[in-house]
Amino acid sequence: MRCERCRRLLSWYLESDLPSGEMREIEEHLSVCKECSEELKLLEETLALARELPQLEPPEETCLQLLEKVRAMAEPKEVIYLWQEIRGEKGVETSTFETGRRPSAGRKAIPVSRSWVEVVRRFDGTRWSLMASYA
Amino acid sequence: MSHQPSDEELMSQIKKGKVEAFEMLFARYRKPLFSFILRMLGDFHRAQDIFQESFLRVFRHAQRFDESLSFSPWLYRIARNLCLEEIRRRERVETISIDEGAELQPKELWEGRTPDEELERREMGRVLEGAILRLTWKQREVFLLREIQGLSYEEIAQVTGMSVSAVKSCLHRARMALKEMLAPYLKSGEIPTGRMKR
Repeated sequence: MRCERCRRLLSWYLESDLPSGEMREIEEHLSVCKECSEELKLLEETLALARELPQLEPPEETCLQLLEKVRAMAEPKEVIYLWQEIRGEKGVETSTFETGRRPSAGRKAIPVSRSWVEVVRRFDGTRWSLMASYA
Repeated sequence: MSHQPSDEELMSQIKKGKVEAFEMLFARYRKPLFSFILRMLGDFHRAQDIFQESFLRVFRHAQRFDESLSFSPWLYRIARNLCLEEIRRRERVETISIDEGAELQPKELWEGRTPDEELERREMGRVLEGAILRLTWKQREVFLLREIQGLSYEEIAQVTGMSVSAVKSCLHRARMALKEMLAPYLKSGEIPTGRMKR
């Protein structure tokens, strides 16, 4: 076996990830070639150093911030309703839009998230419609 | 002896919104994941952001996790994809070629190391940290996942989307490249002076 081929296969050799014939050829070559044995030693030292590298600790503040965010995400969300109260008679209507918890029965209510941003009320000549958009 | 729930059992609890389960999983993977991200990027501050975002995604997207699979490849895949986005963003901004091995300066990799650690090994480790950052990002991720985080070839293939044979080839190239970079120091025993930039 030539040195070049031996060196190319050293990493595979270390994991015994070669056919048995090739493993034997490398062993035989290493037993007579000082340079390739030196290369193998360098590779082993490099890998030993890598495996000694410490696991790195993230800053405590980063961890605390993260856990706080996760706890906030896990909190049950209160459903907020947008509801409309219509007063008046004979075509003269006054509507009031409010947000809050579930309104009493009989009132029209639309559940919205906390982050609703806009409510548009439209009258098409026959009835009012309500459109809410959310962030 | 109390039963320690597996990662996958914890994920099942997290799917139900259990924060305690998330905290246990976080305690297990806090250091390995931060180490992986920091060594992928070599930037302490960006590593913190990506570390946080990775774990937030675990919680946010817990429903997407398939409990019949292992948790750690799923976690590393999330972090790896975020690191890759960052490397590509940096490439666009700084116009450095990540495929040729960016000259990334490690920042604060050695902050907070114990003072009683053997100096020579520590300094040689520092040289190795710099060398790892000079690998291509593909070689770097495979090397870190295998040699530092201890994932199997199959798990690395899941993380990276490469075939197992491609993972092996990439790992062997990374090892040989690192050996070449470290050889002058290992042969002479001389360690370059000067600390890494913060």
